[in-house]
Amino acid sequence: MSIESISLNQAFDHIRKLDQGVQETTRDKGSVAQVSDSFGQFFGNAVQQLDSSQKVANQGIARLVAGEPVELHQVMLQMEEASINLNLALRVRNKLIEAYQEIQRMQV
Amino acid sequence: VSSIQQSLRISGSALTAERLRMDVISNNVANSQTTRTAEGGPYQRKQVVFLARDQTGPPLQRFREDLDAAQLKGLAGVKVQQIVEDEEPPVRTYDPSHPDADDEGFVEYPNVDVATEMVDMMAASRAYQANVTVIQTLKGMAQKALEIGR
Repeated sequence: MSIESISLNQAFDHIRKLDQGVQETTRDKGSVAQVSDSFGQFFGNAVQQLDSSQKVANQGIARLVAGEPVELHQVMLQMEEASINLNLALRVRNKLIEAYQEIQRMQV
Repeated sequence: VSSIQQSLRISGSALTAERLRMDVISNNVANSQTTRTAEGGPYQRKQVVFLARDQTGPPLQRFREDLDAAQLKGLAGVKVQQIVEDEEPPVRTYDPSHPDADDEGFVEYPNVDVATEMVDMMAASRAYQANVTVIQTLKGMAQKALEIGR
């Protein structure tokens, strides 16, 4: 799970760099720059939430394995939450890359 | 996602409550022949009392602002409010050789009926399964929602 999240975070970093590039090219048009800025922020928050849910799940597993008095079902629920969050992030990423490639294929 | 998180928490609280109920039943069965306790006298059968939680967490309110606050009340799962002792009198059995026998030769055994505990155990197990099924359905719904974006 953690390996997946690392590679995912790298992918998001790439997207964020792309987003910054878009911001720089559209800086002269104030309103567009603002919109993309807030999107970047939104995206950063989403990634952070995803990361924290993964961390919570990992901590839960570690505590369970260490023999601490943790409820098994609570750990399973945390893992399930992390998995749903990861799937949502994957879907969003796929959509973003799809849109990017669509623009890339555009005839100029 | 966070509202799904909240839904999972409702069922999770039920799982925790059922686990505690199971612990109490285990304790009753384990002590079904116990004649000595710290308080003196035989072990007394214990029971759990469930309480519906009515405090709504902030996430639920934030993500379901369109719902009326009164509707949200009572959607916060369940918890064990207290563990009470069964006030039934202990079972008196004639066994003069027992060290805890009284002057007439009677021993006071706990008021635990193992058959009743078995029935309670099955009920707790079924309730746990029911809540797991709710969680699986919630999970299925979340996955279906994610499939919209495929």
